Amino acid sequence: MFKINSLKTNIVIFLILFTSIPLIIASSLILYTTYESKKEALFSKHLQVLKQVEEDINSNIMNIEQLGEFVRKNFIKRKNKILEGLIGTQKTIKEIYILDSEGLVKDFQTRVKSNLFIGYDFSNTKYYMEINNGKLKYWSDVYLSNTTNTPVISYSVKIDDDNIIVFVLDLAMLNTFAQKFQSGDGSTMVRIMDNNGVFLANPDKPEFVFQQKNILNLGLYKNFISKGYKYRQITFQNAAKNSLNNIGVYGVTKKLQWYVVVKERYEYIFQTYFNIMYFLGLFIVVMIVLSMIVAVRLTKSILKPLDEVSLQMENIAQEKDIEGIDKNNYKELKKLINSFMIMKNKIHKRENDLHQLNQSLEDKVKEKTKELQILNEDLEKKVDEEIAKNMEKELHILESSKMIQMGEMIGNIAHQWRQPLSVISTAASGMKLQKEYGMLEDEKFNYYCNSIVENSEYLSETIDIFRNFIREKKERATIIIQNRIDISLKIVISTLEANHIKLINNIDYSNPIKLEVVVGELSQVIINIINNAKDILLERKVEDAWIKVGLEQNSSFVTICIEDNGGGVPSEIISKIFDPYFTTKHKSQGTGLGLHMSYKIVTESLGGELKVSNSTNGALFKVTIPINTKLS
Amino acid sequence: MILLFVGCGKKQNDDIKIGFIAGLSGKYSSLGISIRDGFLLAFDEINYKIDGKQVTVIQKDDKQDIEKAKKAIKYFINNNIKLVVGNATSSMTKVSIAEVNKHKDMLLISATASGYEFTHKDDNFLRVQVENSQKRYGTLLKYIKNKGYKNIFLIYDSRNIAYVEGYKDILQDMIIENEGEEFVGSVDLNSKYNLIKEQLQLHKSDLILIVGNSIDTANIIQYIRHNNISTDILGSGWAKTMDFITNGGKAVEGVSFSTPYDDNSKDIKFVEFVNKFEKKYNKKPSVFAAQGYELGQILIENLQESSDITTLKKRILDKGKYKGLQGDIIFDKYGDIKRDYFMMKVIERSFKKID
Repeated sequence: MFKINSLKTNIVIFLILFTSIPLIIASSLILYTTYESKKEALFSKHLQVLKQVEEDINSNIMNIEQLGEFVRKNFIKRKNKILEGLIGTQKTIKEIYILDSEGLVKDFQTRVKSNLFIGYDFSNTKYYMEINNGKLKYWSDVYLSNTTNTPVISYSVKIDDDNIIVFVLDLAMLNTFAQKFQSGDGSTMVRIMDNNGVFLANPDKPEFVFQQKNILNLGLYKNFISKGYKYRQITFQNAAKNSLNNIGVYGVTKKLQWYVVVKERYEYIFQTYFNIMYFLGLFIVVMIVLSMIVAVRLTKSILKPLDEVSLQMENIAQEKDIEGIDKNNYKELKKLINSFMIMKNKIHKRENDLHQLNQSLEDKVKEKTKELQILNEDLEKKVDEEIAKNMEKELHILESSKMIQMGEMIGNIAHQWRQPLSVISTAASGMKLQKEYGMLEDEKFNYYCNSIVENSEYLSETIDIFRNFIREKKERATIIIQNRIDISLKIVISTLEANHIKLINNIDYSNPIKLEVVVGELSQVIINIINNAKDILLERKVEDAWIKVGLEQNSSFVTICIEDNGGGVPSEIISKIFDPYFTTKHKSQGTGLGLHMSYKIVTESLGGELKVSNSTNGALFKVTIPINTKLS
Repeated sequence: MILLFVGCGKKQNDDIKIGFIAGLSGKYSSLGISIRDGFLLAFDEINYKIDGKQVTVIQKDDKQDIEKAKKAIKYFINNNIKLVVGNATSSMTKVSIAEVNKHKDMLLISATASGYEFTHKDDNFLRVQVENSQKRYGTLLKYIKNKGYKNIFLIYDSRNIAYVEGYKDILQDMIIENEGEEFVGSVDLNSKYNLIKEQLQLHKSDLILIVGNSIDTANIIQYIRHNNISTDILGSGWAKTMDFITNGGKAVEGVSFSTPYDDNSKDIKFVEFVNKFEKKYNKKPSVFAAQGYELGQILIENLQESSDITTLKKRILDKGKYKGLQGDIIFDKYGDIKRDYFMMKVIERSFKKID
């Protein structure tokens, strides 16, 4: 489904986007490039400071180590004087101890007031233990000095088996050194931590050093130092604040693996940038507001005539009076309204025409309906008459069929009887003649009498068959199909033989098939088909004429096949041969009802099919009947 | 672009702010730094997040100075920080309690303060430390009696008098009640060392009891032993840190302590804590770091249920029992706890439990 949008809103949005998007994209690009170049410049600056701090730290460490080496070489010669000299000249050294092999103080020099005394035992300190365990020199981590009560680091050097010198260094010198690197906002840029993350120098918060605070819980350590992001630009939070407010870089000193962080306040560094961003943002907001106002005004001025046109259209649609067409200053819109007016008038005219047409059509429809009604009534009458005629015709067909059957029956009886009657007649006339001439012997008399009796019995039997055939006609009974075919064949056999037509019986009697049918009807069908074949064979004067009767079956159907060698049914009439009154025979021979009646019996009464086709010899009729039961 | 200006600032009100106050610099810092490191380790384990809220710990250094302690507590009050952990020493805790009790919605919790005067009070304070009372000194009294010490000389730090009073008054009274003698003498640890030596020589004693921080105690013991005074020495729990052994040298061998913590405990929770602590800080933890860690865990457990500080004390006490690093921590209704004390001695550079 389409969403219905407001044209005005769409135009306003389009105008705002058209003016603001290029502005925003351009501003964003400018800001981004400015920001990136600023960051890059800052990174170079921080890296430079970091390298300088690292070099200075390494240089100081080297200096202390050189002092250690100097003492180691000159201690025996100069002893006490060497300590005095060092404490006097090296301001970074807060205390110097000479320890014996047991860790007891043999000599010391200190800048601060302390409870230290000759014999003081440093044997449990890590620096003593490291040297005692074989190291020649050792740099300590930050620890709280028990003599100065401040965090310190120390450098210890083994002079010989009896002497160890310990330089206790003042962390304040690192703070002082770090203070030199100041950012523009007055804060210092440099922080120094030992390898455990404990502050060695933090000029902005010197208490962090005294309190031995570490950076292990800070984002700086967790997100960057622990992950090895050294010498890369990083942004991180301050210890005391939640905001992301530092940008810088960190490194690790070569000698003691101290962490050096160079950083500046993010907000301060990018203050100018933020100001530009703020004003640019403000400018964009103003531009968007202005473009909104312009868009709304422009839309109004463009759409006002359209609104008027829209109103006039609405009036046209609602068939109200239209006013103010002349007030519209735009010729296109005026033309549009006039076109609509013309259209409106045309529509009105067409509506009237349509109305009139509609009216005449309605009249015509009424008239035609009446005619149709009369016609319909006549038609119904004609149909009834035709039905009555058909029924009469059907009755006539039935009657004709009966008469034909009777004729055929009589024909068959005549054929059946001709031979025996001839024998009886011959025997009787022979006996009479021989009696007249006195030549009738007893043996001959008996022979003639027996012949007459036998033939009379045959005639009697023939009468039974015909009588049964007629009686059974309408009785529904269970029959064995082979027997029923046999009876039918007996009725027609004499006629066939008389016409020199051979009946070939291919029926398999070994498997009797039981069917429930109107028995006379099945016989009638078989007789009709055979008679039809006989007529064709005789008509076409076929030599060595024959009719084959066979039986096929499957699990559901039994098929009686009757084939002749009469040359078959011409293809042009094969579809018509079951129609009533259709015949190819002379009027004296065929009525055209035999096959029609057979078809009706098979399809309607027996529930089967009657089909005809042409074999290589002649016509092949197939009577297919569904099997009800089967004899076991 | 507009979004850049609008921003999406964090709501500060959603954060849980905890003030931490202790002596973090100078000679008193050994205790404070130990507690701080243990306390922060507990929060580090939960990445400083409780129920999605960011935990911020604001540290202040009292420098064992009354004015500094007052100023720090005022800072917490002014910055709307209602939950304060500290102080480390009893004298400083006394100062803070006085300030905190003026604000009903504040709570002060100390990991180590044991002053007797905080006991049995329904106030804005509780602690994970046994108070200075007879039950705390029972083991010590038994030790003194068993060793047959009669003449005890007390060296004490007058800058933590609230703590010293436990030894000076309660322990001394208990000794007298048990047919013992009054202390033969006492001297302020902040006195000049030769003055202390003179006092010791003046008052013949068979046990020197030193109540001071680890550095001062180690230094004075070195001085005493250096001056061939071989009298047995008993230290206070306050001094029992690794700094004591580091700075004491061989002089501190044989010094005894009464303590509820065994540095060599094989308790699985304690061993795990030691491993975590060493991994993070690259140093051994003291018992005070353990106490700081335990306090952190108790707070986390209760803040996870609710960050309402006004009900925090009640909720901690209602639950009453917590799994500590060395056995259970059980609070009474006033927020004082019970622990079993035993004796330890410095033997071969480490604290060893003795019968």
